[in-house]
Amino acid sequence: MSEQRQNKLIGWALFLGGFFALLFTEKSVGFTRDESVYFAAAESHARWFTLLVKEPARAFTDAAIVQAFDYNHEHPALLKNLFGLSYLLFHEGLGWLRPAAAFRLPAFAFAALILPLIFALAKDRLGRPAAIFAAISFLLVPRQFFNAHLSCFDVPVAAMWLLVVYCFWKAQEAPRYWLYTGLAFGAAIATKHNAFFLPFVLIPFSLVWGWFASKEKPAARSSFLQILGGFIAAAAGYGLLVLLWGPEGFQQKFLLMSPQIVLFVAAVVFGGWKLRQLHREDDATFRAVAPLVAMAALGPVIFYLHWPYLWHHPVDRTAWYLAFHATHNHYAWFYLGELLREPPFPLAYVLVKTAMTVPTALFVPMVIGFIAMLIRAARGQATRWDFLVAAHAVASIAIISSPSVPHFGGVKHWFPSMPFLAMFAGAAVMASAQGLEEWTRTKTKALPSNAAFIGISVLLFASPLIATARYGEYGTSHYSELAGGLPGAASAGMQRQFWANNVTGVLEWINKNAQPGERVYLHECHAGQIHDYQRNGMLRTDLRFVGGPFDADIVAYQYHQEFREQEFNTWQALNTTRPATGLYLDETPQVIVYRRSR
Amino acid sequence: MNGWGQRLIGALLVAVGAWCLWFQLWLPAQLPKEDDFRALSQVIDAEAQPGDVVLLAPWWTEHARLFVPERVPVVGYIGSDADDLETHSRIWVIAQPKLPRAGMAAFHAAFDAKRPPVGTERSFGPLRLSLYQNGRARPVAFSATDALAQARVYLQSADGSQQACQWDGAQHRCPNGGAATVEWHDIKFQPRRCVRFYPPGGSTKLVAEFTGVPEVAAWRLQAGMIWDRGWFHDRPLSVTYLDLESGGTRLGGVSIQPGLEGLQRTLTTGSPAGATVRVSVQAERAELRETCFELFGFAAGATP
Repeated sequence: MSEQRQNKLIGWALFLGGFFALLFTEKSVGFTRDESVYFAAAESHARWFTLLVKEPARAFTDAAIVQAFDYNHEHPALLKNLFGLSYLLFHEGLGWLRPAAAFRLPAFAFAALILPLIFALAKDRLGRPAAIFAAISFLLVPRQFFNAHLSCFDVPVAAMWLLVVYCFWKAQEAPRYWLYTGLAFGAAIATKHNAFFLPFVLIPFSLVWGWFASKEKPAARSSFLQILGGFIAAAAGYGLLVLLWGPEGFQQKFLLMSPQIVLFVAAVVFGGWKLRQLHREDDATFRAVAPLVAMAALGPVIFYLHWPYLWHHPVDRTAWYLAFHATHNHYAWFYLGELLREPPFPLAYVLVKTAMTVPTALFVPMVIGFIAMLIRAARGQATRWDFLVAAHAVASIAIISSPSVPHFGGVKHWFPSMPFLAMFAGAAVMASAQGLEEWTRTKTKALPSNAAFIGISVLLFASPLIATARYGEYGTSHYSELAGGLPGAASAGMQRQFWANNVTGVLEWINKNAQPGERVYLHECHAGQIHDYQRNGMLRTDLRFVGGPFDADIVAYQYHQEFREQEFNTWQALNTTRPATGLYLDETPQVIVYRRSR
Repeated sequence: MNGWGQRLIGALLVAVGAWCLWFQLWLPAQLPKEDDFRALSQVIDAEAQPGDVVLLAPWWTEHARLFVPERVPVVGYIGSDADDLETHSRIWVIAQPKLPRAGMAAFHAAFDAKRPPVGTERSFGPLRLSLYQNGRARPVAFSATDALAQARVYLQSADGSQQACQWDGAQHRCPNGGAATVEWHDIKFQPRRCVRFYPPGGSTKLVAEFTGVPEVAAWRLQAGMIWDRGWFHDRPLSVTYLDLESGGTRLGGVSIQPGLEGLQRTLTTGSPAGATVRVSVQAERAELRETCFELFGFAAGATP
């Protein structure tokens, strides 16, 4: 079997392994606050697709689009479209899956895609075993494994980020990948807004590689600089228009026939023309620059086309979308005994949180691999691959570390860094295995090939596997060995959970013990979540769900420091301080159930 | 990387992998079983006296609440290690010292002073139960939360005119729509059963007047903003003043600045038997100034 075919088989095995691991464990993962919103949005999108088939003329009207896409227009539509279509096909059409699993299926595919992408990006530099280690390790981080189940966007955008970088890297040697980079970038910004930062991490590589590639090639250098100049001029033109008209005027005058569109078209046409010329002049310079031109040209077009909500009002609705994320609320977040409510947030937050949540057996090799890269860089031995992977390992972490960026959401906002850190872990394990093999060769007879690597990998995977099995369904609660596990994190004053999905731990008790028609308050769970638990057969439908403890007979309180007042309101309302049951993970209270004292 | 470097990393990763595996296998064995909690709670149920309290160590190990008899209060919040628990004469400590980062040395550093152990520590699986005499307790002669039903509550304008609040069997309902009542509230993560006492706004005061109080050697007035109200500081908010007076003499008070979280305390001189004691609250702007107070009168002979 050829090496290429073997690699394809490994890639498929990783993808299918990841996909089915998620599918088979899906049922135990509760619905987070956001996920139920996305379920509802996806269902709404699905109705629009049905309308598109039945009455296409009506489907294209803004009224029909707004009806379907206005809900949750804080996020682009790609994933929600896929969730909705999957729901239509696998639940409503074929009846193969429960509603939640049908919605989640595309999320499993995106998450599973990360594994072969890590393998593909890492195998040539690290070798197959290390690349396989890196790929598998991604899903053995319990918080990542948990998030990979959800119909949300955090793991999918990590997958898309990785896909863009893979295409960008591959474009340096393979034809057409420059075009795929543009397509992947379009898909990435259609997944989540994190991807808007991608160009900033790729541009320096394009510029440096293009500069060096065109060295002593005057024609190529000239085309390279002209392409660069064209896009800088377009950007300056936009800046000038903003200065002239102000941000509001710029937005109001951004019409189909406007200077803004002319600038975009001119930049793309000019860039494409010069790129064609560059392709004839020098292939290496072309490969460095072409992916960026493709991203600039295709990204906005795909973003516009994929989201019907933008079709009739592209500028205003895009502006609203960007403004929403630029001015996002800060939610309270417990960190080292302090309740963080507003910026500035601690600079070390992301690093500390990563160290305390990534299984230590994976975190240590990540750190070692990264430090080894820095040493190579200091010695002038680092490769382009090293720099590219390091930049993307650091990028999301650096962005979220900014003290003014909202810090809620556990670790999910820097997931795009994690596949790249996994590659450094693979590198460290490979280096350590080589060292041990060499050492054993001097002491005993030589070990079979890869025996040390397999031994170390199994040892390093053992504890994350146990942790994933124990905490996978309650992923937002997982803490690493370095933190002292969940008890250690609780003592250190860390946030123990968020997103309200841990309520699954007490649903069985409620189903079993609540009287028919009894009034139940599921603290922090909104109506959408309750609806989803009911339609997926996880919660009785005869119970009456109320909006607060004072109207309730049973209260399931989510233990957060910022919500303690709600627990004490519950004591007051139900006339008891003694819980009836609860979800206590490693003794830490997560969800506490109180019942009215008779 | 040279050979020695690789070997070193290999040894390190093997050690880390082995330690992590050990940790994951070790941790479940440190967790108590329900039978352990039941056996422990039977002891508390049999031996607890009125005035006893249960303290959790580490503070977050609230699983025990499920099992401890409800007549014995359970205390566990950030900082509860150092709580004087001054209204409780004996303290049962339920400890889980084997949990990672349990911090028992820090617990004892904060807890032990003036608290001699009573008897020996008992074990129930990984749970440890110890009883202590609370040398920091003070005999309470008067508690506003207990006496609120008998209090006269009213709104008092700057000119001295009063509007009475009506007791409805559960709370004093005031003409401005407010109420004074005993409730559980969060004061910077600490559960307090206190008197809900929201300032009416302007120069008007809300007053709770207790008549015929017993002889008190020292008064402790403690108050705080409930829930997140103490944190707010990003808008025009007023200082909240709580005053304690007896027989027309101001004994002391607490002022709560915007952004000041937690329980604010003051200890004042006492008052003779039969005195009338008033607690009042006032804030120019009532917005986000939801206040809760406790007033304890310690009996003569108690050391403040």
